[in-house]
Amino acid sequence: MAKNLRLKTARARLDMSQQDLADAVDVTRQTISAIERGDYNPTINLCIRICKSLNVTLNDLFWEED
Amino acid sequence: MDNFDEYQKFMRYKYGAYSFIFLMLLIMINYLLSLVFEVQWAETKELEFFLLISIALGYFIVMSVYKGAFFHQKYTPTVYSAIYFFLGLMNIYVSFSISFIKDGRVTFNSIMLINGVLWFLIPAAYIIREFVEKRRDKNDIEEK
Amino acid sequence: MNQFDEYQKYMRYKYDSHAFKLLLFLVFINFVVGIYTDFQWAETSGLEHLILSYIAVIYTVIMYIYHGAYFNKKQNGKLYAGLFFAIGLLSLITGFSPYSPIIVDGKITSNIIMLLNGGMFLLIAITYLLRLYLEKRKNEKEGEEYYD
Repeated sequence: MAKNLRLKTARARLDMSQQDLADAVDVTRQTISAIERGDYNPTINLCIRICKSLNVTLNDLFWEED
Repeated sequence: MDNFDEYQKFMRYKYGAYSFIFLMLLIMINYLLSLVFEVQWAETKELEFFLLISIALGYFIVMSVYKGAFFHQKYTPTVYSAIYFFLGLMNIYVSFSISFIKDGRVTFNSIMLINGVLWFLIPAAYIIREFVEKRRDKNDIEEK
Repeated sequence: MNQFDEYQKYMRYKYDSHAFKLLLFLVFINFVVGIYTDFQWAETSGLEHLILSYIAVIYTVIMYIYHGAYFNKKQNGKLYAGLFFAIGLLSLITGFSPYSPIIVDGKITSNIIMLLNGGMFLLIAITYLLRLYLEKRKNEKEGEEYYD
């Protein structure tokens, strides 16, 4: 699976570490790390929580890249 | 399972499933060996089964810890790993004072050793995971 | 695992994991009963463990079928269910032979393996039919609610 670099960029833009984002969405740091590495496909509920925390839309982070 | 997040639950299910399949395979091989070659490698059949289960359980523990799915979010892994390290070390140390192989068969005295190894696997897998993650983070920073 | 979709994989992992815990629990109970009462319910201790393993496998297969995780998209579930029903029935009939008793001196013999196999195949077919029936009823109910 491809890495999710957009998630990493959106997180970095808000100066959030993986741990900060994990705490914000109530998951472990390893979960955020796995999502960013492309090793795990989060459920839609988790995707929504992440997007809300980063003030972006689902398309911004999780839609296919051309 | 409520204290685990969705990724941890998924990993626990995944490696629980693999452990189950692994255990079935071990049981099948053991059963065939005893049926065809009349091999008995432990004092009793119960002990053989217990040891096979321990192998499968050990695999589950190592993979859960390595994938970050062993400890709840609320637990401090470092503290628990230290506790398990000492528990494991103590069990292993005590077990070496008694012989666990007799007449070429594993005896019940091996249970203490197995317990010790299982406890010990937790901090071992945790330390390896921390090391791998630190290296990965370092490589990510260098790539930037 | 590649022929299964992500939901099916998840269900398979979930119920295999539950079966693992179930097996550990059954072995523990059997061990405790054996220690305190010296009770042996099968011919050999190896057979006892084999039967306990079968129970865990039957559990996992039933849960796969019930949650639609047994057959992949390309397989014809109804055809397989029919086939398994026939195999199960045949195994059960063969297993009940008077020349291969299942219980001898109050202990289960290795002849039970054929019965367990037959039982498992039969349960696959029954569970599949039950699932089809429940889904049909759910769809009918949802259809009624939609039009109300």
